[in-house]
Amino acid sequence: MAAYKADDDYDYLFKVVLIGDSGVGKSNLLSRFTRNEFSLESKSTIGVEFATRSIRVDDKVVKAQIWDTAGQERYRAITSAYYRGAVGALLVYDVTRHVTFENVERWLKELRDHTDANIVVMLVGNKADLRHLRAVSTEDATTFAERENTFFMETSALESLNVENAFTEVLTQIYHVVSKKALEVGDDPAALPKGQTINIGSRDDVSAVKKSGCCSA
Amino acid sequence: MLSSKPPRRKVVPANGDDSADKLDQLLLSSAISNNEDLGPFIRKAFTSGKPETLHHHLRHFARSKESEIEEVCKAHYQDFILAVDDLRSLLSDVDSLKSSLSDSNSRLQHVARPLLSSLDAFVETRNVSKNVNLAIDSVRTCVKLMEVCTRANRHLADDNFYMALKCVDAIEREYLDQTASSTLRRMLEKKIPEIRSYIERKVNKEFGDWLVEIRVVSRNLGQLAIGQASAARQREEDLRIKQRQAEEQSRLSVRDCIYALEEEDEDGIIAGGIGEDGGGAAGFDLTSLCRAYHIHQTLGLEDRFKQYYFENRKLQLTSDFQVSSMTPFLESHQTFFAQIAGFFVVEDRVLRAGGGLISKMEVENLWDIAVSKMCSVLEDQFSRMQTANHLLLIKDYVSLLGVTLRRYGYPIDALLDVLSKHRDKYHELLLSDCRKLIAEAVAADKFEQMLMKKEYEYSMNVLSFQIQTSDIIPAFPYVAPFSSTVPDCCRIVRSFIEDSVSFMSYGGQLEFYEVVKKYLDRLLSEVLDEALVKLINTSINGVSQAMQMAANMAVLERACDFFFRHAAQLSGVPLRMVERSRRNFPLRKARDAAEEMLSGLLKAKVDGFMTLIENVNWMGDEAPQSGNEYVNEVIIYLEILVSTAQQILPSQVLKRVLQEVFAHISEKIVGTLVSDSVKRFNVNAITGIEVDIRLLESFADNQASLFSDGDVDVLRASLAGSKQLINLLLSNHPENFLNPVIRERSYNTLDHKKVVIVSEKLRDPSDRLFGTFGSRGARQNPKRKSLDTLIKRLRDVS
Repeated sequence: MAAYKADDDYDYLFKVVLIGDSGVGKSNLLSRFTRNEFSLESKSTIGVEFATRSIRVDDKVVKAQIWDTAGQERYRAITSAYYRGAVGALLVYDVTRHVTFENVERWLKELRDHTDANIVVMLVGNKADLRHLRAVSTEDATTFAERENTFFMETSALESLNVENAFTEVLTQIYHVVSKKALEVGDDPAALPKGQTINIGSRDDVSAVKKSGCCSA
Repeated sequence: MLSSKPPRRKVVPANGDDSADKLDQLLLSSAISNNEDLGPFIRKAFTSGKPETLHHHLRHFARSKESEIEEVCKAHYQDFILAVDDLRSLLSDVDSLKSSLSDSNSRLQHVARPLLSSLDAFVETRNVSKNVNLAIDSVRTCVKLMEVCTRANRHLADDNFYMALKCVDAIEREYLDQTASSTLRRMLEKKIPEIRSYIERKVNKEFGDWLVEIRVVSRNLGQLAIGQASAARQREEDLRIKQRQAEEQSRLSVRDCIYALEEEDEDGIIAGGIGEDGGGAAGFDLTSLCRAYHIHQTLGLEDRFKQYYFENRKLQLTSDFQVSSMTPFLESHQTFFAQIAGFFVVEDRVLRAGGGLISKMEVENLWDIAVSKMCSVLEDQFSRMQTANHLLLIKDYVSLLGVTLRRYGYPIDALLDVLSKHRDKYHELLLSDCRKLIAEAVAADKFEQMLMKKEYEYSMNVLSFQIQTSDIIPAFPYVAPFSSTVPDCCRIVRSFIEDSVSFMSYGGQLEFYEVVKKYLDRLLSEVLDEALVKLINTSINGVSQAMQMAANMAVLERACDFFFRHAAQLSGVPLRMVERSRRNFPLRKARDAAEEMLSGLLKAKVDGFMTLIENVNWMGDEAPQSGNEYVNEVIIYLEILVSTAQQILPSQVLKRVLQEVFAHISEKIVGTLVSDSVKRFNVNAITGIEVDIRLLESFADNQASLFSDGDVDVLRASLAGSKQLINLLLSNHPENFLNPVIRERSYNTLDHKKVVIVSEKLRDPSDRLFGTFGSRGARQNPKRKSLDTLIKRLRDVS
């Protein structure tokens, strides 16, 4: 578990979005990762929710700000705001419902239309515990991920399978991208003053989010 | 003592004083008798101020008692002395006894000491023995318990969960209360539920693995079962083909029929054997499932497991219903249906061999869900399909699915209803496809006779459609009477028939020939007929092409007979029933159009030659002996035409065409005589026309070898119009035309108006003589007189 620190005491703040069809388990992935909770109730997310959690990557404190959205079409109006400033995405489908995997391509296109090319994308096949109801084979998903140049993991929010790994992997990869970009810019990460934020997106966006009164649960 | 006192004091009150004292004494006496507290009486005495009376009474009483005592003592003094003596003597005896007892005791102690030691040892030993026995019993119980525990552990290690549960139950029922060791008992009380939970988890995991495995097995199983149904159907098809061959052979010779029957019997035997082998269900393993169910029954969790099984299998079935939109249904439908078929093959086995794990009603509920889903998927997919082949592919697989599952007792009427409902759509698509193909085939026609260099070409283009004119194989190269359109269209129609029968076969409707025939009629009369009519009306250039089309139509008429026979055979209808119901030629419009086109072109050609009739000398001095120029040209042309036509046109068609042409020639002759281009004519000219007509009739007679007996008259009849007119003009009694009987017999084709017009044009040679010798008043010709009478009468009629 990451060492506890004050909310404002972090080296990096990364915005990560959860996208995918309704009912694939995005909210339970979020609650499992941030609060280690799972809810069997299948109530739909309304609008946008987000939560934060900090982990350590290479002795740096990385704070993840994870945004969860409804998969239904009626919340499409928030798309631009939702994606703004995101440096990572978990594209979630349900391994027991093939149609959710078929829609991954559409979600991926929307993601790439609204985000930076360097965004780190993890394809997540959730509900892997339901082995006897599987409708999407691991091979098909692996092939898709390779073709689309994304990471891929199968998870189970119910059984806590690979949830930690999925988020940690995304955050680690984001950190590597940021570090490489910083090196290209010429800055030395070690020389950065403690607590300063480096983000791929505009700094103003993050400040705007802070000023708007958003806070973690 | 107290109880004896009251009677004495009662005597004293008898000596009493006043009544008040008597009352007090009674109360006191009663109190004393009752052992009551005398305090109140004493206090009353003192408070009332009469203590002296009380003291007096008491002293008197005391003195009375003392005297009594003294008397008693005097009376018993002697007895007392004796008693004391006795006691003294007794004391001496007691001392003696005491010594004796002390001695006995010492002696007893001395004697019993060894015995006591022995007794102590005995008692101790007995306690030890009892404890040892208890320990032994306890140990024996523990040994048995340990044996059962060991057995339970061994069963657990070997995954024999049922036996392990039996051991655990035995431990709980027989040993738990008997176990003396509380430590051991606590351990058992803790471990027994743990073992049960462990077994339940293990078995549930096995069941979960079985659920995962059975899904893959189901797909393969479904494909295998449907494959078996397909193979059985193929064998039926092969058998049916042999039967058709046998039926065809039976019309040739009896011997062949006998041979075919023998062959059929052999096939029947083989098919039966294969059927029996195929009937065995492909092996799949229910061991994990039955074991899980049995363990749950033993654990007392039967209902929960049954519910869990049903719900998860229902979820699996619902998952199987997902139709991928990434893959076309045409590619995924086999997997889709095979998965569902396999699911229900498994459920049927579970129902029969699962010991009540799932009930028949539950399976039927699942099946109803599945049928509804499959029907809705089919409705959706069929509604979006625009290619007949696709519907046919899906239909074939669905009907195989139906056959497969009907064998397991599942009702499939709803599925067959969906297929029937889309029968019209399928055939519309087929008709649309065929319309395009026929248009292409027809557009590619070069109106040339097909040349076949090899026998297989003849077989492929002629024999396969039974459009040959002879059963003898011709010499090669062979020039067919038809052009390439004919076999091309025949192939398209045959494909349509086969596709239609393919769709209707195994679709639940056993007698589908009428449906196939209906659609075949539509194909021929709506699609092919229209295409041919259009071709004939738009693309024909010249008589030779028109003749080729007419020849094609004749061949197609024979082909149509083949089409309906073929449809009947494929539909399983005996040929004799089909042949009994003769039908109209479905390509009649095209045939009529072709013949009309040919006739029209021929008439136009003949008209070219008939213009030479203008060169006839209508007032010549002599009749031409060998016919006029125009008729000779026409006859030459017709001779060339017939020599070409008889190679490709059937005699009936040629006859009909010649009838048309002859009738046209006749009309032209009459038309010329009626027209203004001819002002007058004489008998010589009419005689010449008569010669012309006879030449034409002679030509018709020469064609007799082409027709069956009696048909020449039909051809001659085509010239009736002109012949009757000429006969009337050459008759010596033309007024006979006025006689209805004679007119009906000899001049029935003539029109009154035309007769008047033509008759007026006839000029007699004496007209000039009359002009020359007008003043002489010469004798009038009798024929002329008759003709004038006729003209006058006909004018009156009009």
